[in-house]
Amino acid sequence: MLEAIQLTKQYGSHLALDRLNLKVEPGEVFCLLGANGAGKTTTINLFLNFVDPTSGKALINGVDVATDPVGTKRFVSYIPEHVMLYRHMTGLENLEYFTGLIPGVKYSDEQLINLLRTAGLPEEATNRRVEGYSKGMRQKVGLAIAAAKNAKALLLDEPTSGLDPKASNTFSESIAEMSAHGVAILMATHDLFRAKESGTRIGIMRDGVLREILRCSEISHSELEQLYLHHMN
Amino acid sequence: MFLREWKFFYKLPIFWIVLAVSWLSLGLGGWNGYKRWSSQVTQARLLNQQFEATLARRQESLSKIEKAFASGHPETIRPSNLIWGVTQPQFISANDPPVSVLPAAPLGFLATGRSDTLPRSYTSSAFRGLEPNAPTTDDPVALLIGDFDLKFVVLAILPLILVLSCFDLLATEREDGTLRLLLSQPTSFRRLLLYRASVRGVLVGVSLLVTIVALAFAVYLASGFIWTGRLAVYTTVSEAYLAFWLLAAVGVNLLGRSGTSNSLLLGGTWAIMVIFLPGMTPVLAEAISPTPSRALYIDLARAARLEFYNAAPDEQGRKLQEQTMLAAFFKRHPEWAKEPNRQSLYLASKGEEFNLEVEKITKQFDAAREHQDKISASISVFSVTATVDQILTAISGNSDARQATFLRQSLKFFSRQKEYFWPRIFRNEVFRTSQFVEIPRFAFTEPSTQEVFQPLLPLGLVFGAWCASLTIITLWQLRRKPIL
Amino acid sequence: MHPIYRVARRDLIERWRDGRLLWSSVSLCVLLAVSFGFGWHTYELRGSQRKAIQDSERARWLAQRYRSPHVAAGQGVYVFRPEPLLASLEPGIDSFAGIATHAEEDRHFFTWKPAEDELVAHRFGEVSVASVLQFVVPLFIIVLLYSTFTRDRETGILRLTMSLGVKRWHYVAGKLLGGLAPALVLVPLFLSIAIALRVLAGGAAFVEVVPALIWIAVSFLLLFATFAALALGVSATAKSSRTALLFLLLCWCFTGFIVPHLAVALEERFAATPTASDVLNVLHLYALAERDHGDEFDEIVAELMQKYHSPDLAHLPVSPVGVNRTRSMERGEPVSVAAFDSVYNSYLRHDRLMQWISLASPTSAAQDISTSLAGTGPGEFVDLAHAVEAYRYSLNQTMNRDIVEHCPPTIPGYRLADDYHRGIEVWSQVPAFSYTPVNLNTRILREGIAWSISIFWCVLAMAFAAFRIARMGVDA
Repeated sequence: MLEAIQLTKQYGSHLALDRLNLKVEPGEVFCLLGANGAGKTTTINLFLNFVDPTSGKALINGVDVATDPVGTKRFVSYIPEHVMLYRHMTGLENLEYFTGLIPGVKYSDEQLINLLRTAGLPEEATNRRVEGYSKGMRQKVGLAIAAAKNAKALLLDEPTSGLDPKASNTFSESIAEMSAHGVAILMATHDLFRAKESGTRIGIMRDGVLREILRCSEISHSELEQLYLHHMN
Repeated sequence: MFLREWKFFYKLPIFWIVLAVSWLSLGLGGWNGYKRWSSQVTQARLLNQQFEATLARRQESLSKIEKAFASGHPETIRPSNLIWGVTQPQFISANDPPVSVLPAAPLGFLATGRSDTLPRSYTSSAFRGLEPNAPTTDDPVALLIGDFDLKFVVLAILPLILVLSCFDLLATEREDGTLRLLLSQPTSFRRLLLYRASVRGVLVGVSLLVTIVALAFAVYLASGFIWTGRLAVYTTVSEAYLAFWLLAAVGVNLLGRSGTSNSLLLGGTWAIMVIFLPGMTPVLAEAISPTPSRALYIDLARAARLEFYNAAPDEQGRKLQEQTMLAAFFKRHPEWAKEPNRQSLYLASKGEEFNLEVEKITKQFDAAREHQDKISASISVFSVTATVDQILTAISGNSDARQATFLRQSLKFFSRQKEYFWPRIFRNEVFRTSQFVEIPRFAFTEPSTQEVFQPLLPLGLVFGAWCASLTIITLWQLRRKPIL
Repeated sequence: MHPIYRVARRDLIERWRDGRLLWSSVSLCVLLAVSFGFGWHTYELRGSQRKAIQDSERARWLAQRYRSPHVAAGQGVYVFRPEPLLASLEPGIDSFAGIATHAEEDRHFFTWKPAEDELVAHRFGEVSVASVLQFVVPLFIIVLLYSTFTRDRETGILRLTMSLGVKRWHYVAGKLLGGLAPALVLVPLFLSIAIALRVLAGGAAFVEVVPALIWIAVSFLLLFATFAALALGVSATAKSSRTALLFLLLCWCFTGFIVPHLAVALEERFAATPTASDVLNVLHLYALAERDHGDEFDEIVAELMQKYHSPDLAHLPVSPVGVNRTRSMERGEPVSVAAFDSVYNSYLRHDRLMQWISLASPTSAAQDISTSLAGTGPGEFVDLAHAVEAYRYSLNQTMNRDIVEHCPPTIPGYRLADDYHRGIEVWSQVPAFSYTPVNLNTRILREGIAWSISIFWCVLAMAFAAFRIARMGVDA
């Protein structure tokens, strides 16, 4: 579903991503682990066509994102690290606006409220302005937007950053549910624990290079930590 | 997508500010313009009515005299009235000189232009020539500040509204963090940006259109006529000017700078284009091509007046003066050489010599002024606002060009006065009541469409070049990815 | 280094490095230099030219030969509006008021506005030293001060600074010092202008205008203080630098351009200046209502013959034509004065209104004050118009008196005798026109409302700034 083929990005003299080869199958949760500047966000930016690759390709559903940037976005949802919404609009209005941008998709208010409920947003917050939302609540709206798309792939950038353990856990459950429905998920994160808990496979990145890929079921938490620190040193 | 962006914009506080300021300023500018136009229509009518009322009074006096003669009782007529009174064509021409009045410009309700500074009426006395009749008396402070007409709203306020509502089209999204989420949706960023900008543009543009149509309808109801073709051009140029500013805002947003930088850049551009460059234009034009001041003109004209009207100190000198002047006059007008009224002929000769001398002075001044105007016009092209200002003023009719046409027609009218009164004066004819209707009346002929639009072609090209350049730059910028 | 100076220094360095201080200072210097140069050139040209031509007019008046005082009264004298020295800095309404009026038998308005000769694009005011100080300096104040507090709140610097144990009032004082220190640039600029004026105008002329110059400077300082306080208050209140800048730019546009234009529009709609045709109409209706000249003349002849026991017209010791002209002038004078003064009084009324309207625009208040003190305001123009009218009236009176006393009565009509001609012995009875403007105290008091409003704005802005800064939080 998501495939990177020799994907490379160079900013001037700085090589941000070096010949990344990666494939995320439907129903799989691939966690990209790495320190700041490892190339995780660059990878996501390339899949979203926010930047052009220096070389290589990023494919979504077999289509090169560079050749069809708008078309490929139909197949992928995205939840950034900080889900920033329009302050003067309510959660429902934000959802209605963003889902309105998806061609061929039209939800009634009832359906939108249902999406928010499913994402875990309290009912009373639905018609409240977003400027009063907590980070967790904004992320729930982000989840609802992602769910509304019915996309085949999901890109997550540091999704649990700043969330309390309960919110983080709730988020993981949502991810698991989406994965069970066949969504291919690529998650960039620092959170080793969450990566092991939610992921199918883990990739460790450093300095733009994907150093190692391993299956979550084949490694324990402490082993993962050791391996991660080994690559970071 | 347009509707969705409209609904999005509608929820923002800036929407209400844009709406309120647009409608208030358009309403006030339009109403003000209509009132001024209406006042000019009334003034023109009043001046003509005053002239006709005065003539009617003279006609009544003359009628009494004629009846006295007809009834065989000329002793009832006061002798003074026969020596210098309504029976003499010179009396009528000197005391009740016909007026030429500039009517309100056809689209004058759209732009005050020069109508509040330049003379709108002349008197044409057969001997004294053309003289300004009713100067504008507008409060000088009001003239300094400038009229709040529709043109001012179009040139200054609406672009400011567009700048202030569009400076953060992308910058806010970027700073608030919603840009990434937005661009991750399957929608073209270019379309999104253009639709977002066009929503604001449409709000302002449609408000302007509605105002112009409403004004035109009000004028049509008042006058029974409206120049639809010119109105359409005025509207098109105004909307194009607003589109220019909208495009500028889009272009600045695409630079990827912060909202603060965008507002400084766009606000600074507005200040330079709308205020500073037009304000500096006369400074630079005067420095490059100084014109002699009107004080000098008055001085030379007054010197000429004294020269031709001041009598020689002695009898012999005065006789020589009269002979010389009459000789020159008869050389120009041999047809009057044998006429009996020497006193009037002498007066006419002095008047004509004076007018000819003043004409020479006026030509020099006008040439210097025209040259400076050309320099001003050249400098003005650096400001799109100054360029469009000239175009809109010309189309509205309240421009120097229409004023010049009025002066030319007034001068022709003066010639007709001479043609009518001179024979009667020089032949000592007695004026009759039936002749009052024969006195030429002034009727202004509006410049043709070609006369109005042909001089605007270079300005149109300049404006077109501004729009084309900005469009090319913006389109080129649109090809780049948005800076996140 | 004391925390106050440390904070101030940091602010100044930031403003210098981001280019705002450099560019605003350089732009201001250039604009002031250009506007002063142009203003001085215009003043010198207009002033000296008008004075010279006024002298020529006087010479022409005296050089009239062999003509009746009636014709001389028709020749009249052109009176030129004098150009005060401070017009070089504040031209006020100079370009929009007529430069001359014809003081002759009939009354006229001032005609030939310099603006008539300028292109249509020139309708946003002239670039002058005063306009640069009134419009550009507040804009630069906004650009320099809008982010005084917002930047630190947005970036978290304020939070960090407070967490280091810096006293709040030290921080605020440092910010104020750093924000207002660039105002020192104005001192050498003001001094340069004053020195340039002194050198160009000469000692005596300069000394005369120094008090007015000082008062003008005070009015500008009030304006700058108002904008500075407003900028600081808004910066302490706004959630972001962008919001602060947007609000302040809107205020600048509103007070500098929208309010004055609105004021003019409202004045003209609800307290319109009578047009020249309205004035002519009043005079025209008066003329229509006047009795027939012939009837009146006959009565005067009868009256005079009875008074002087004269057997006939030829033996009258005074001219009935002259008496008729004098009485006609006396009767018509109040009508003419009322008609023309309706226009001039509307200028004064508008001036008053504009002063009140400066409640919505401190820039308008500063403009009212500077034009009045420079002698280029509407009040001073109306003073001149009244002085010219008094001169015109006295000129006509003198001519009529000579006609009464010296013109032989003609038989039979009320025309002047063909052989009645006079010369310099009569013209010299009319003095040259001279005009002394009202004193400075009167001009200051005239703008009492504007002064009060300027001070009110300044105090209000400072109170607002103090209030908001005191309540400013550490976070945006």
